[in-house]
Amino acid sequence: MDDIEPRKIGVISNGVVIDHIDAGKAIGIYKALNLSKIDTLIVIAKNLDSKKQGKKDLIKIENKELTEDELNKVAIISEHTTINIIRDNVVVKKWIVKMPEMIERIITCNNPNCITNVEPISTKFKVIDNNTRFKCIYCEKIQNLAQIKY
Amino acid sequence: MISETQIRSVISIQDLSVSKINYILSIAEDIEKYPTKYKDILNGKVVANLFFEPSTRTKLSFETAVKKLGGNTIGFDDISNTSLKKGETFSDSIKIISDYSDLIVMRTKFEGAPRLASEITTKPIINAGDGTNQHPTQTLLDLYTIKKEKKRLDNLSIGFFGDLKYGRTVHSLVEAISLYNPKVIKFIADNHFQIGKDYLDLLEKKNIKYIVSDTYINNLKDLDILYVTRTQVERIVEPIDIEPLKKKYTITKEILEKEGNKDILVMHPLPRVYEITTDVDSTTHNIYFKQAKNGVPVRQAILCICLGLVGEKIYG
Repeated sequence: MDDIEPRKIGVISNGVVIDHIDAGKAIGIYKALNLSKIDTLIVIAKNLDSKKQGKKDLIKIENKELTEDELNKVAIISEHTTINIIRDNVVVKKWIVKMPEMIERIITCNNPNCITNVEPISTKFKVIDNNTRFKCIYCEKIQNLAQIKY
Repeated sequence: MISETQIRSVISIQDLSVSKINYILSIAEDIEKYPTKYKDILNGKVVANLFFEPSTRTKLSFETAVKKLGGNTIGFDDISNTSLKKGETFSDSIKIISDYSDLIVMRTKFEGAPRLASEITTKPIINAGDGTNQHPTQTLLDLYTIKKEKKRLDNLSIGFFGDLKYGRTVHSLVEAISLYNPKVIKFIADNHFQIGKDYLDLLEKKNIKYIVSDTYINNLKDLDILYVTRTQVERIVEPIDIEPLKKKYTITKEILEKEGNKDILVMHPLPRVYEITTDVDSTTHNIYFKQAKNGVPVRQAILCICLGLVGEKIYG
């Protein structure tokens, strides 16, 4: 099989385009979505020019749709990111991710004494302070983005 | 719709509105005034006292409260005698114990465990302390004591003194008293033990005046209440030598006479170690022993309310 021409790299016929990611946050989303485990085409672009944001990041993933948990992870890392669903080269659905009021399962509490780190249970965080901080509903510890783990 | 007088569990002071707190305090007052009215109210009820972490005062206070209401207790105060030691999950233990009892009182080092327990069982859960997080029944007895001694909870000047970082009683009381529009709150502690920023943010959001200081000098004159706490050496994470701090953070009779005022009342959740000298005990400033005693009627009130045994007919 011939190599793809470099200029065609990044074109996907089916999959998802995660656009308008805050500049510098694409790698965080890559890690949070565990994309290293995916063996389809993934393109990451950093610091693209953007009219709206000045600079933005972008991720394209072939043959992939995001689950609700994965969408919530994207929203936590970069609010207002746009999700484009591509089918047969056409954008069939497009929306801006929204931070949920309550985040379940997808992040772990950074308090080692929290019961969620002892018992096999799902975590629950209330999103507070204009979507900038997360309060564990069990131990009540408030955590910011830099402190949380996926 | 849940009315203001319906309280199923007491997990965190953050769950309680002013009217719910006032309701609990009013029932406690009634119990203290008319104890015979309540002496058999828990007849046939079993309260499980699960003390996964050691406790003397709180455990005895709950046991006394149950017995004064005519109820029975089961439980443990040593985790080594339980199935948890054999590897049973906390969730399984709660499921099983809730089948044996009508209400569960628990103390644990794991923060959030009482909240989890309240999701596992439909029986009421009372948090008797979860790690550094909450100790809501202590807060309620603190409020009861303040109201009893000062005849009000609003518009007070309160100083917190000692270990404000690790002491959960301080955290819960700051949250609770912020509901009553205090005049000023002062946090007097060494920098290593100063109150967390989240609590200052809370006061700022509510437009409540606060002062952060590392000395009692010039900070006691205008106070109604001085709430002193023990250094929680068992919870300190970083290596700190507390010896040099002891003298600087000890309240004596002389200090109260020189720096305080004649009406300043000194509270302490006890046990006391060095932070209040015994010469304060005989002064009119001391209300910390009364405070400990008030734990019983307040816990009696919580038990009655959570079990749905008091209502408008008694309250009204």
